[in-house]
Amino acid sequence: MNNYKKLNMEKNIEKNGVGYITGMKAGIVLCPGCHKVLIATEKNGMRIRLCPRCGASIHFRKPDSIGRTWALLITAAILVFPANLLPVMRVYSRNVPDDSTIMEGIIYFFKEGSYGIGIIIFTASILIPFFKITGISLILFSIHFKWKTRLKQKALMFRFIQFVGRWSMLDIFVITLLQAFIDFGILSSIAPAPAAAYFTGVVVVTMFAAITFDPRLMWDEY
Amino acid sequence: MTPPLLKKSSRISPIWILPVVALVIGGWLLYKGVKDAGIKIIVHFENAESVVPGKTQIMYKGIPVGTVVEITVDENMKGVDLYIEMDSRLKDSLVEDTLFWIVRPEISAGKISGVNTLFSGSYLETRPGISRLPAREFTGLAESPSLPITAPGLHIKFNTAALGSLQKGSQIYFNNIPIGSVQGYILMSQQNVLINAYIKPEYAHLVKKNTKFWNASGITFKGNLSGFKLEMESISSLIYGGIGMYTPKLKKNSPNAENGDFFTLYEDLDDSMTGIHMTLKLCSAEGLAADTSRVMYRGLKVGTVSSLTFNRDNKKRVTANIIINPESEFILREKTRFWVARPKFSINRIQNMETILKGAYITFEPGGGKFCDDFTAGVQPNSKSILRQGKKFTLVSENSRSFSIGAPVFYKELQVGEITAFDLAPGGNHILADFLIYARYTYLVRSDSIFWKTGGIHIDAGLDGVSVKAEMLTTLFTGGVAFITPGALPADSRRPNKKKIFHLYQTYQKAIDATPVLQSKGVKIQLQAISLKSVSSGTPILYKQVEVGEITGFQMTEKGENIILDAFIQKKYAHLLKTTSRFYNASGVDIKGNLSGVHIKTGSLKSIIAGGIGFFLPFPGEPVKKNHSFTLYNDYQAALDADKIKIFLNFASPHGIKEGVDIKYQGIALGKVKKVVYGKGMESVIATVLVDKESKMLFREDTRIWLVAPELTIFGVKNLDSIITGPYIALKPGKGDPVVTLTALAAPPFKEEIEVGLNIILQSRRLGSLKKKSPVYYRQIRIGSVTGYDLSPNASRVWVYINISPPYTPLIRKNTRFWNASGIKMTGGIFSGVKIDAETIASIVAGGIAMATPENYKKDKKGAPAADGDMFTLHEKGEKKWLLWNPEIQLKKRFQKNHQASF
Repeated sequence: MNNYKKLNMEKNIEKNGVGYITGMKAGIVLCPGCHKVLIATEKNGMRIRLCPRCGASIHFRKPDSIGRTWALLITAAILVFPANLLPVMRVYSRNVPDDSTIMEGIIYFFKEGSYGIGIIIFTASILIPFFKITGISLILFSIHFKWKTRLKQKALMFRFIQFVGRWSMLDIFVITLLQAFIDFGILSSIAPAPAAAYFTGVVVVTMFAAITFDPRLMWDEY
Repeated sequence: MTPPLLKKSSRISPIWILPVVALVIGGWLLYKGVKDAGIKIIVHFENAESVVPGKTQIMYKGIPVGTVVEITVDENMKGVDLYIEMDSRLKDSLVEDTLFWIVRPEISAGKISGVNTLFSGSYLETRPGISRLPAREFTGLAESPSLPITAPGLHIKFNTAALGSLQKGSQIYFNNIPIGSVQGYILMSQQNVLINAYIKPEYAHLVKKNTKFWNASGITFKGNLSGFKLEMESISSLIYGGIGMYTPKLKKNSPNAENGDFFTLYEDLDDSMTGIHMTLKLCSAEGLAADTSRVMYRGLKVGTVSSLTFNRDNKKRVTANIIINPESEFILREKTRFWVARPKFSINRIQNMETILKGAYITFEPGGGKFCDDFTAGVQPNSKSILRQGKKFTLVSENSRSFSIGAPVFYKELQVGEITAFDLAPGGNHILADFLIYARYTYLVRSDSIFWKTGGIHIDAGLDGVSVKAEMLTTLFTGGVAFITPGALPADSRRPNKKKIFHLYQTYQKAIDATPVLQSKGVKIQLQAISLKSVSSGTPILYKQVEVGEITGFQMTEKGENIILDAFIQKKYAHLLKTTSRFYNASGVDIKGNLSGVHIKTGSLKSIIAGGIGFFLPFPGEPVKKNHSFTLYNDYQAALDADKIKIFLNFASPHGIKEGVDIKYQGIALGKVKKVVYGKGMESVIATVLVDKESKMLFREDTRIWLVAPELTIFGVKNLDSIITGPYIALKPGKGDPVVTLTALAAPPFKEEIEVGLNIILQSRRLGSLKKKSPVYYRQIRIGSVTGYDLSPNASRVWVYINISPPYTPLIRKNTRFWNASGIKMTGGIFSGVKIDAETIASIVAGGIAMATPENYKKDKKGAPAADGDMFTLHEKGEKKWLLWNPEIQLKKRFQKNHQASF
């Protein structure tokens, strides 16, 4: 490690408040199940071992985290297209079907003057899925390209993504609730359209992506 | 610095299957999207009302096959272009003759369609074409197109003059089952509409080449005097219009209709049944009318006059175009003779009466020869072909009155034959009429049979008035002949009757007069009348409204003051007639009206018209002998009153006295006031009262009569019954010699005399509140009542007459004290308070008399029982000690339980 690197590293340590020595480097591993601190020995610390206390499998880092996250992210990115281009909801009004995509629904609400609902659905159905995909992609890229800047903000963003992921299901809940509530036979009824499935896929896959990603990887390169 | 213990796995994570799957899905979706991308077409419409871009769909057989994407106005602003994205599956169907039309809800008086679009909104309907040339631009239809000629089923065409309420979609019915519909119509010329129709394939076999179609739209109402007809195919045909069809039975086997066949659409069912056309030249079409006038044969309709036209020949006759039912084709023969039956009126007869109601009709006598359909109407022939088996006879008559062909021949009012022909006899002196007696009745005609004319209305006018006589109602219009065969008819009908020609009497009377055998047996009597009134020869004599005889003639007495009517009573009724019988004129209507009501009195209906004489038996008498003379009273009442006694009553005031007022004795009417006249000097009125003979003894010198009229005063209502029945004359019989003239009292007698019980007189200073019927009390029990009061002869006292009811009469002794118990007696002192004394509540209102008898009545001579007419003093008030008297007196037995009710 040359001086420049060291200097830089120290700067980073100061800036990000991260210790120089990681648990992995120190041969210490944390049980994900019971948070027992274990010492990784030469013999056994290399790969998988079970926690002597709770029996959970122990890794220094989630195995194949980056690869899996990438795979899930790519899946989500593909599914986003049918989810947004195909109709998500079919309204039968006097037996005439009327398909609408997510965006058409939002525009409808805005046209009707229901800005609040429009904003909520727009946020939950358009903003958050895109935000999740781009956010996790950004973190993955920053790991891959070893971008060391703003790690703290990225970590904050990742926690936000984890928290907000489940709310993207709002749109699906709305459709299922409407289907249950609005069933007046020939007069009016609502059914989910194909995009609902793709959209659910996007939400689920991005949630899994957030789970498979190990944020500690961000700090490993220091 | 790298951790030596970490080793990277070389194999690819199975998680990468996910993006691959997503990619596959996405790719498939992309492929499908590209493959299924709609075909964009443009359809041009006149207007795009109710079409919504993005919403309005294109339907084919009920499933959506496309959506309207955009609507633009076309270049020259004449219509609209609809940009439509069609389902890619229809790629091959979008050819140049593919049709598009907009289905909108349509509700009009005649049609309801596209009801489903009310809910779903309008949509476009399409029908693929058969062409092979693909097209992407189309012109939309204004309305739904008719079925293509290629559609399975039967496509036929109708010719009709007017469309009526038919329209596209109107159903074609067979036995009320819709089997097809109208597809469209075109106006071919001014008087011809061509209708395209379609019959569903499953019903196509029902339509034959000879099938008749008629316009069954709406309700057909055809009415004339002979009845009316209401036709309606179905409710839906009422709204949509409809076509009915039937195949004539005879033509069931004709070949099935083929596509493109032409049929005539008749105006209605009747029209469709038309058969053969024929023409009839007439001198006049009077009474005939196109479409309604019928051609009749023996009462059956065989055709209809379809139109009447004016002829251009030199005689300027009229031609009737007639349509004869196909079944009646046989009548169209050279020798068939036609004529018009019209009502005929004459002074004594009405002919063809039914034509008055139904209008004139055309009738005919079928003949032979070749087929012919052009005829000239003639006159009705006076003969008729014989259709029934029987025997033919001939009648000789003075005139042809009441003859008509087919007129019935009656025997005992049963038709046994008919007149078949009549004509002038050679020489023209009389009429010869042929008639047929039906085979089974021929034995009724014997050589001595008498024939006379019946029927029609006989009007005999003479000096004694006009008598109208009608025979059986059936013969009133047709006329007829009746006959009778005197004597026993031989049971053996095989014995033939040689005589063929009979004389026909003009009337039954003449026949009877000329045939002594027929004159009925009975009693001849004479009636004496002052005037003939409406009685004439032939007037019936009625007994209990049954005709028992008749007047046969009349003559005047020598002096000319009376008229003697000869009457004849039939033998079987002769026993009803006794010497005491009274005859009266029952003719006409007798109306008597006054305030107490209107009496309308009539005899039987017949007697109103024809007059009549009635008689009744007031009491038994001897059987009459021939030529016994009776008096004919003017009316029934006069006859009834014939033996009544006249009593003359003198009334000071005419008020309330009028004709019809009853005279009653004890509520039972004895008679009535017959007439009221002024007495001498106009000061009084004399009412003449008719009373029964039996009541005569009631009218004696002392008999008192007075008028009872309702009286409303402060004291009450009197004679309530007379309010309803009107005033009446009351009578109180008296003694003396019988009289016929009496003078009425001005007012009812003040004293009522009651025969039973004890009548005594009380003397008093004042009358007090006593009045008639005021009670007499003993120990507060009513034992009698006041019957009247008057001043004593010297006016010093008031005499109150009282009557004690029978069981209580022993209570009254010579020393009995009476006092006035009327009103309330009130005495008062400072220490004793107020004392109110009253006999009974009733006596407060009605007044009353109380009495008491001393205990020592037996010892004292004064205590002897009182006798009628005894005088007592009526004290002002009773003494206290009188009330303490407590005598024991044996009452009489109550022989009359409810006697007190008479008070």
